[in-house]
Amino acid sequence: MSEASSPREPEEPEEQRKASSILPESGDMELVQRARKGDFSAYDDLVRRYQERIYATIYHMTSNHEDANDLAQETFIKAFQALNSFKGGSSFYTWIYRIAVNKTINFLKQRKNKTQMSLDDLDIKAENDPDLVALVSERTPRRDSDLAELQEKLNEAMLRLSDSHRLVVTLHDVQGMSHEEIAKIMDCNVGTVRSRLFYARQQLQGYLADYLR
Amino acid sequence: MKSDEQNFKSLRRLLALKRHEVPPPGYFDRLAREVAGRIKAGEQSEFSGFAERFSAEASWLDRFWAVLEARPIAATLCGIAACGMLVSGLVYSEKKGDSAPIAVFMAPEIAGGVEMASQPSSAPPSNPSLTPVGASLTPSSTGGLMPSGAQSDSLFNIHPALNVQPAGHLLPAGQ
Repeated sequence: MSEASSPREPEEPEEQRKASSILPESGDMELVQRARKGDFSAYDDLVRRYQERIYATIYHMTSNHEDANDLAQETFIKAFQALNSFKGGSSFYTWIYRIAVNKTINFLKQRKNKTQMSLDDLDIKAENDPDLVALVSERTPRRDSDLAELQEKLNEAMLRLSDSHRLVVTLHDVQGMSHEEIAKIMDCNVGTVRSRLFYARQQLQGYLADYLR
Repeated sequence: MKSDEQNFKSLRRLLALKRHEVPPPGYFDRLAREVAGRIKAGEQSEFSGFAERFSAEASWLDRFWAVLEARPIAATLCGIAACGMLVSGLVYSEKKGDSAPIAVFMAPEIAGGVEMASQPSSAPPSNPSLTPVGASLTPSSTGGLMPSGAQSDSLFNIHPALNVQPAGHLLPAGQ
């Protein structure tokens, strides 16, 4: 599907912009330099800075907490070992995201047909999220469905997407990254990101039709 | 198209549910600690792995020493064998050194002396076919080592290049 066939993105909602905090943080390079010189606390700072985002990306790709935990740890360990090869051509966060994404996709290729979900709990905010409450209690024809069931169906639908389509949806619609950032991480052009996103949304829409009418 | 966008809007609201999926409380503190622990453990195991490999490889040496300590005769035999190998190595290297073409690297005066001592001055080679192999192969390089006044010497007039090769090496093998 070409870029032209995918519609332009509407304005990002405020909520999504809030989620889009995946910006290269200042001082990353300084921390990297210190870590290279053997200052482990500097690397620990980098881990704490990015661990939630890296974990979340992997978790949404795998729908499994234990796998996400293992892969997140391996990502940071691999990044530490490869720190000397980081030339600074891209930002540190793009670099470490690439490591995480590559590790996850390799893992998913090996795990094929052995999918077992181990979902994280929803936080308390989910029950008070007006959008979600409306989605469950008003818009959903199956009024008996609750958030937990919706969460499970949503994850099942995500797992039916191909790895590359799931990644685009995860990075854009869940994590709030821009197309340009995703293109850098996936090492492809923005048009590819847009078309993958459009196709993935269409697929998800079909899988989750009962919850979207 | 508008309905698509509308549906995508709903889908995106639904996907927002995934942002509320969070790991157990305190998980990220543990994650950072575990990463730090694994990195440090990896560094230590790298060092200890080297030490273990070294000690594992050295264990045969320990056993060998233990055998020698327990049996003095074996130790003596090993010592004699080691000395024998050392002596034979030295003898072999001496022989190897003798057979090397050393005259090429000798000073002209020494080279001339060696030649005069080893070849009778009154008996020039009667058969031109016995021209030294070494001389015929390297006339230009040997000529450079000759003393400036050597060309006027009668001995050197016969075979000018002979002065740089020891006589023992001028004859073809077997002669």
